[in-house]
Amino acid sequence: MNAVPRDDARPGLLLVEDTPSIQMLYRTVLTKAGYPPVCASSGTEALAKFNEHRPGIVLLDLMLPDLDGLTVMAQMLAVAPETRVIVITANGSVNKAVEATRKGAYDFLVKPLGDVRLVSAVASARADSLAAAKQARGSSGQDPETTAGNFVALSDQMRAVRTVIEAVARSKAPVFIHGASGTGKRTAAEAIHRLSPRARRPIVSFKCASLEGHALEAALFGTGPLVTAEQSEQGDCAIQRAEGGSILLRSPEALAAEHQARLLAMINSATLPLSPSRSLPVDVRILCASSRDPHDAMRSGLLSEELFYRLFVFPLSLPPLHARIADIPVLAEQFLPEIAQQEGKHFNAITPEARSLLQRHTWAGNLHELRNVLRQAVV
Amino acid sequence: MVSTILDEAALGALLAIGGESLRAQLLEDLQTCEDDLTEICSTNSIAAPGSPKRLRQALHKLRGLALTIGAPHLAESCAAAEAAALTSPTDAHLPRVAQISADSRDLRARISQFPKETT
Repeated sequence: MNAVPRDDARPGLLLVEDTPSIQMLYRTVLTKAGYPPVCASSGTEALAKFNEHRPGIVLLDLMLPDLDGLTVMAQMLAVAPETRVIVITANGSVNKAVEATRKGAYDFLVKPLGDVRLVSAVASARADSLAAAKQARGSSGQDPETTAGNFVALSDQMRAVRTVIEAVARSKAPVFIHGASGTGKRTAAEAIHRLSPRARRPIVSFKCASLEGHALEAALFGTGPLVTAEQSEQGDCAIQRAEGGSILLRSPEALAAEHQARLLAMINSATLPLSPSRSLPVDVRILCASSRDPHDAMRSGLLSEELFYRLFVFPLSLPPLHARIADIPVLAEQFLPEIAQQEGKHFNAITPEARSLLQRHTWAGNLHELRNVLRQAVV
Repeated sequence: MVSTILDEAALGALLAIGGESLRAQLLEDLQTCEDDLTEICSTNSIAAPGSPKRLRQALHKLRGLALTIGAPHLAESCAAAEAAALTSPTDAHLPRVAQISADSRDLRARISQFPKETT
C-alpha cells in the first residue's frame, strides 16, 4: 500500500454507505455544511478510496454488502491509526457500535440520523484531528507521567489503568469509570481529559445525586421553571460550561428516569434543547464515575438500558488501594506537603518504617482513609 | 399497515434537503429491497443457499431506509425479522417477510404521493 501524503490542515472525509438514497442524503447535508465527502458503496471500494485519498475522517456504515464494517475499520486503522472513524448503525444495533468504539472508532451515530448530529460529529472529529496533529507536531517526546498530572501509577494494576487512560483519551466516546469510594475516579477522569485534545477546554464535574427535580434540570440542562430567560441566554448549566471539553457525571444512575431520557436524547442528537424553539449544538465528551457497578445499576433498573449502552463504551475499573501497595508511599508523599501546609506544619518525607506500615494496612476507605491517617499524623 | 405511522414531518424534512432526486432515489431503493424480498419469498425457501444472507441484508437495508424516512413501525418489523432470520433461517418467516414487502410498497406509494409543495 502506498502512503499518500495528507494535508493535515484539511482532513478529508470518506463516506461509506451502501444504500444510494441514504448516501445521497448524507452527502448533500455534509456538502452544504462545508464537508464534501468522497463516497464509497462497499467495503472494497471504501478501502480502495481510503488508500487513494487517505482521509482524516471516515463515516462508516457497519453493515456493508461485501465486507464487515468492523473489518474495514480495522484495516483503515492499521494503516493510519490517526484516522477518526465514525461508525453508523441502525437503531437497535448499538451493541455493535459499542464494539466498534472499543476497537478504535472515534464516535458512533445511530440511525435515524439528524443533519445536526451528522455535521456536529464530523465537525468534532475534524477539530480533534487538527488539534491532535498540532499537538503531535509540538510535543513529541512528552512524558505521559507528566501529562497525566497527579496520576500515580507505579503498581502493575495502575500501570494497566494508565495504559487504558492513554488509549481512550484521544477518542470522543464516553468512558465509564467504576471503583469503590476513594479509589481515584475523579483523578482518572481528569487524567483522561488532560491527555485528550480537549485539554484546553474545561472539565466540569457534576454530582447527579446532589440535586433532583427542577433544581437538577436547571443545573445540568439549563431548563425548567427555575431558569430565567436571562440565565438561559447566558448558558450557565453544567453541559454548556463543559462545551468543547468534558463533563464528568458522578453517579449517573442517580438521575431520575426523565433526566436520563433527556441525557440520552442530548447524546443522540448532539443538541441541547433550551426551549421548544431553541436548541444549541453540543460538543461535550461524557465521562462517568460511580462506585456502583454499572451493570448492576442497569439490571436493577436504576440506569436505563439504552443510556447504559451509550455511556458504557469504554469501561475503566479502578483497583482498591490495598491492591496497589507500590503506589502508597508515592501517594502519601504527594499528599503530605499539601496537608502539612493546611495544618501549618512542616512534614516533607516519610520514614522507611512509616512507609512499611502504610503498605501493610488494608485501607478500606482507600485514598480518603489514607488522607485522614496522614492528617492525623501531621496534627 | 405503515400508512398510520409515517412521520410526515421527517419525510418532509428529508425532501427539503434532497429534493426530487432524493425522492426518486428513495423510491428506487425501496423497490430494490422489495424485489429482493419478493424473490426470496417466490423461491419459497429462506434456507436456500445464499438466501439467509440476502434476506438479512435486504431487511437491514430496508430497516435503515424506514428509520431515515420516518417509518419506525416498518423498521421494527424489519429488525424483528432480521433477528429471527439470524437465529433460525426457516420458511416459517415467509409470511412475515411478505407482509414487510407489502408494507414497503405502501410506504413507497405514500412517498410518491407526498405533496411536492411541502418539500
